[in-house]
Amino acid sequence: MTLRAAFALAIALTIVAIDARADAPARSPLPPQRIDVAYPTRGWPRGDPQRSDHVETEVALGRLFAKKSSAGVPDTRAILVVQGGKLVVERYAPGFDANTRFRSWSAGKSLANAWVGILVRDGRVSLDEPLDARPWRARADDPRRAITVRHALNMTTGLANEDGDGGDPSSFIAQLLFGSASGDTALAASDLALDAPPGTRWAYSTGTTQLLARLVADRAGEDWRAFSARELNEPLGMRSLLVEVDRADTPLLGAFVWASAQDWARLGLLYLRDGLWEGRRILPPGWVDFTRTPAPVPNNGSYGAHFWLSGKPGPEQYPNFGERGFDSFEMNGNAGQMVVIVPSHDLVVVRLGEMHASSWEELREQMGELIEAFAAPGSAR
Amino acid sequence: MKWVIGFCVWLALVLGYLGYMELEERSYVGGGFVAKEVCSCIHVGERAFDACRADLMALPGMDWLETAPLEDGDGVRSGLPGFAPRIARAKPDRGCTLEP
Repeated sequence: MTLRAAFALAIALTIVAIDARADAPARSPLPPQRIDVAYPTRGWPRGDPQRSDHVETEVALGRLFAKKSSAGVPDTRAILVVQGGKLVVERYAPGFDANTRFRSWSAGKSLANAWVGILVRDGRVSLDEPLDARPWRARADDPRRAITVRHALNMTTGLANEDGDGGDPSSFIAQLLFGSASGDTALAASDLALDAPPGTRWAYSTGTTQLLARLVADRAGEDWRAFSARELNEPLGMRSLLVEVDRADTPLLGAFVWASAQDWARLGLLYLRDGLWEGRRILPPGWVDFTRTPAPVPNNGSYGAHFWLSGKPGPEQYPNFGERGFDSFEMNGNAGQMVVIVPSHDLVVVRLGEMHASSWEELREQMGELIEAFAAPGSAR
Repeated sequence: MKWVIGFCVWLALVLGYLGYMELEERSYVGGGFVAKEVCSCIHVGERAFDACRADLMALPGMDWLETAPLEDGDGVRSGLPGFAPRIARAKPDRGCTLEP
């Protein structure tokens, strides 16, 4: 690349980065935990929403639980609202309760962000080191060795491992989770060609999350379950967390993380509190800001580092709460799994369940109404 | 005329084979999806088999798949009738894993 071409590329990337940020609502600071509110390590402090509109809240909750599948079960199975560090709404569909574990689908990808963040904190992984998956080590000049941990977190590896339509049995995602590639998901996701240079194109890939999952399993320095238990589950009190595995014992962070609604809210609160928990730094300084910064590539406006953002969505990206002016970032999964973090409102909202009779558009609308009911920044009683 | 009949027979065999292959793939992937989902729903989500299965049967096309718990109670099998079922097996603290 000539000097002029490199300069032009740098200018173009800067413009793209600035443009992506211009589409996003102004980013609010992450609010600290109030000194008189305990972290929910042992149990959730409870309160009533102090400044929200109770009628609006009840209407929004009523609409969220109204749609039922043909089996007669509401699509929405759990809604939790945490404001000011207190649990102010906790509601479940019949047959579900605080002990029920809910499946993440892609919301589990954000757990990969937390695990990698902990390894970065400890200096065991750096963002700009090569991801170096097994099939790429045979040749020193393999172009895939330019793929970094940062690229994987931002979904910009350039690998031809885009999810595709999960309803199509031949799609990559269907094969990866349920087909012939399901035995060793990290191997299947890495043993593919590049279809773009790393760091130049955003493409959503469960396979890419599986590469990060394998990285954590290899670098944890111990069984990854023990690593997660000591560094995350126990400090936060996330006692229900369970990550399923493929036959190679790679954690299925891309789709099969299970936790109670209260534990999903705990993980959301960790990010709202900038990675701090009871004075202990779980995630490194600046990690949450990195997480909620859009990857600077042309087709991305609403994806950070394994979290969805409120910027203007690019092609193939989900609608979000940016149009309502929220500076939210969120864990987000198939069938409407959502852990929405709204720093300006000191708020975490969790929605878990299915999407048999409802649609993404409806859920976004109803969740937006619920969040707006808590719009006034304040705290719980 | 003979070659026309021969061609039609050949075409029917090819289409039949392709159709069989397509169904086999759908049984393999679709059965894997249902076996995994129902197994995890029971053994990780701690819900009853009927409730877990009913959730999935609300999705289009799923009622074609035959789904049942394994006799030993440690997993779930699912597949289209006439094809080998996929099996998802549960292990403590590991959830459910699909067998090949």
